[in-house]
Amino acid sequence: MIIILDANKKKRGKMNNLRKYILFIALCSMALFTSCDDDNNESVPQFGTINITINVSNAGDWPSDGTVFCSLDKAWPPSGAPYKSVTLTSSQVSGGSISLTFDGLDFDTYALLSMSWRDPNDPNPQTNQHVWATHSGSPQAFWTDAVPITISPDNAELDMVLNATIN
Amino acid sequence: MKFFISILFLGLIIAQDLSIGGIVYDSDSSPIVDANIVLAGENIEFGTATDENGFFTFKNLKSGEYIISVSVIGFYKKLIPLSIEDSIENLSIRLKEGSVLLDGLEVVGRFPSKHIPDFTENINANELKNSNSETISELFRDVVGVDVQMEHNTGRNVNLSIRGSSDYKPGGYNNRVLVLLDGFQVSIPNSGSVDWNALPLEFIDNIEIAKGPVSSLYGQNSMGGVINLVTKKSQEEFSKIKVNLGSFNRRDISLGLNRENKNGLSYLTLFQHKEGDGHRFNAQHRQNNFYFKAHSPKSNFTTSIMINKSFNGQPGFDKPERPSLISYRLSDRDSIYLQFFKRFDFEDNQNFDFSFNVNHFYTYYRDREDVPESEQQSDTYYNDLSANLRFEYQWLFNDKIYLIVGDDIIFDQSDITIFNNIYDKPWQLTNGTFARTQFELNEKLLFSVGARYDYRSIDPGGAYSRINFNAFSPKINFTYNSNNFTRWNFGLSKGFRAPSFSELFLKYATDYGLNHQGNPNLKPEELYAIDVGYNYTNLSDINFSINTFYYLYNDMIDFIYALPVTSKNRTDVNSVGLETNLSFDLSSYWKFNIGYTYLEVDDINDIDPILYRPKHKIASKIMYQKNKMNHTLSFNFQSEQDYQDFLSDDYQFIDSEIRFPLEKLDSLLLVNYTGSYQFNDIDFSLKVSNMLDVEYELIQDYPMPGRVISFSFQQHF
Repeated sequence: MIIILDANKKKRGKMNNLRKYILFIALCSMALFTSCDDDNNESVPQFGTINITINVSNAGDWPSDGTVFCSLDKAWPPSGAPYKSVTLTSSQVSGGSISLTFDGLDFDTYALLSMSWRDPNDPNPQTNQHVWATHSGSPQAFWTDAVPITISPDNAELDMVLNATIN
Repeated sequence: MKFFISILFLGLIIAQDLSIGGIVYDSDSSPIVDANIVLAGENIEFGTATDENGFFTFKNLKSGEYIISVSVIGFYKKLIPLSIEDSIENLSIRLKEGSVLLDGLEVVGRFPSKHIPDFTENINANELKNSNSETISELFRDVVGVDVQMEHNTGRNVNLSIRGSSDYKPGGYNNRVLVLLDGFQVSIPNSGSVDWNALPLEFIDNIEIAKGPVSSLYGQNSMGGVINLVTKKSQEEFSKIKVNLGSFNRRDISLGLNRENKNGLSYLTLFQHKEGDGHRFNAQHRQNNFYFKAHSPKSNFTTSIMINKSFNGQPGFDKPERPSLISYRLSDRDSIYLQFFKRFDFEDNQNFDFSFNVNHFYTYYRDREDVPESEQQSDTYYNDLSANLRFEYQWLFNDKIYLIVGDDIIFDQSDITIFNNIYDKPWQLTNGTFARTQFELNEKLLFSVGARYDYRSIDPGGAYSRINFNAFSPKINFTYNSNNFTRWNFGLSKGFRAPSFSELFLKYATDYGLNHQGNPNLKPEELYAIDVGYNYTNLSDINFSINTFYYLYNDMIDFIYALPVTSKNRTDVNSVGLETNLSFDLSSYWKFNIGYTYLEVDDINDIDPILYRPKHKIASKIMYQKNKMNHTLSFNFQSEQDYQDFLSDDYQFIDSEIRFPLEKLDSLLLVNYTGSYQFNDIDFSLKVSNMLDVEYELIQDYPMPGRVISFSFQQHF
């Protein structure tokens, strides 16, 4: 291996700068490190949480096929996939209700929290979703009249109840 | 090999009157600056480097048998036996461009010491000239071990992945490849991606690619590798104008000027305008570039400024069953890069490098005027600022131990509308202190060890307190030179990357209905790497290399396609791969090159799929060069690759989470042609990309252009 550092060049000064340089780096590093003491972000919430209770009046009618969802949408009627969605199974029903939590939610306004069932025998995505429960709103208005849910740093954790009827 | 090694142990010089001198040229008869010259004779060896005119000389020699070794990055090494009875002052040594050169340390003295990774692949000027690529991002599709995902050749969103280090996500958030321009970082702080439109291919002399983690020298964003774009040297005065016309109404014009004053101070300037209509609706682009570089060899000082103003359509996904995905968005970007470099030489082979650069990016997204009312979106902007101060001290101690110590201080700030608005103009300060030494264990075995300690403090702004990261990134490397022709390399290293602003603070509802969300609780990701490489060259017309690697990613940061799409630390991911490259001359006119890549990246626990990593890639070229005529036919094969169709309504359900179906992009085979001819001072060039007019995609539902033809001529004054 060949190592050549400008062998033809004239020497230009003395290397008394090495100590200055190392000292300079040390000072820079110290300045940076001392200004970066460990903080924590525990005091101010950065995400919201919704604690959800779904009361199912006729849990015995839980469908044997298809998929049941609990979803949170930012817009309603929905455009694209929901903001947050999980699947539910009948085994989660305990004492006639299901408890779950949506966490890591943006501080934002959400249009609808819903429980729904997707009919596997209906291939049309416009009609295959059957809403069983929402936090607010009426089926006659297709739940467009639901009261929006607002999650903010001052109101970061909410409790919501859905009353569902399987149909 | 002995004389290469024993240069470190210079013997007594017996003064005589004879001398040897000459000039080192490249294949275009341009002098090569800073080529390393070693003169070896009986019991003696001398070293020097060519000056700015490519000239070198050895004096005070006695008569006898000698061997001159000439080497420089980007060229094949040349050995010349000489029998000296009288002085020789007019040696003319012509070096041949080579695609791979492994002598990392030999570049010291030519470039800043940043460019000393152990294995550096070099795309030289000749290869750039004969490339079929119109843009730098497109160029990397021909490089073994590098994958590119892009919306189209002139688009903004490009993901560059070395050895499977990263994959495409909308926005390109997980960039693990550090891109440098003359050693200065050019990445955009919010995501680590690069403004590819601003980087002028016409101004690049060669490109250095270091594959695998280089965090022990570069820290942030280099855990996948480093790409250094080296701009043209100002070796001669010139004025040239280049015009390029092509398919889709492509029309580019460039004006380049280089001047040098009596003191050797040179000024290199480039003006450039490019525009085209694009191959599909809203894929148009327009850009203006200005680049200026001043270099003083006498005072070892270089400064440059690059200003880019670009306009791009954002074509959106092409999915006939969902016409609403057609995008009516436009983007404007203004970029400014300001760079300073100064080297101080001291006695005893010591020098001190000082680098400082400031980059500013302002990107503005808006709707087209003909946007339907139902598709209207609000304007968004990205305002990014980055500054980097770097010091390096290099010392060649006792002519046999090389040492580099240095410090990086980097400031980044992003003010972006698609960040969660609970944060306020987040900024970060990073300090990286590094050291590395390299020395010989014996005459055949070279050992290097280095490490870097990074500390980053991020201030999210608003009511939120700082987030701090730190990491220690070591590297050890053994290089075994069994003889002049073969070399083995073994490296162990650890890479590191702290989460980007986007991965921490993003809050973005896409126009295709998905919400992307950052995660401020992310941990840094780490990479543990083993690299083994072998290289053979006969020093003239054959070059062969094979490299294998095993990488283990710990806490890899990724945006996972769930609802919402959220950044998180994945469980363990590993990758294994092999790259091999063979180039040889079929005759004095015909040259052949073929490279093959095998890559396998897996989630060890098989939880989340690994996307956009093709297993097999072959890049091959046949070149015919005679007199002033050149023909290059290239073939690129890429096997199919996985992606998650996040535009599908057919969700999958895994552990109560919604996942999108796993699909495959088709494999592809592209054939390209480049022909050029030089007539007097005019260069003519014809390029045909995708000659077979293959329909293909590099990102789901983003069809790439079919056959593209372009014609250019360049006039030298």
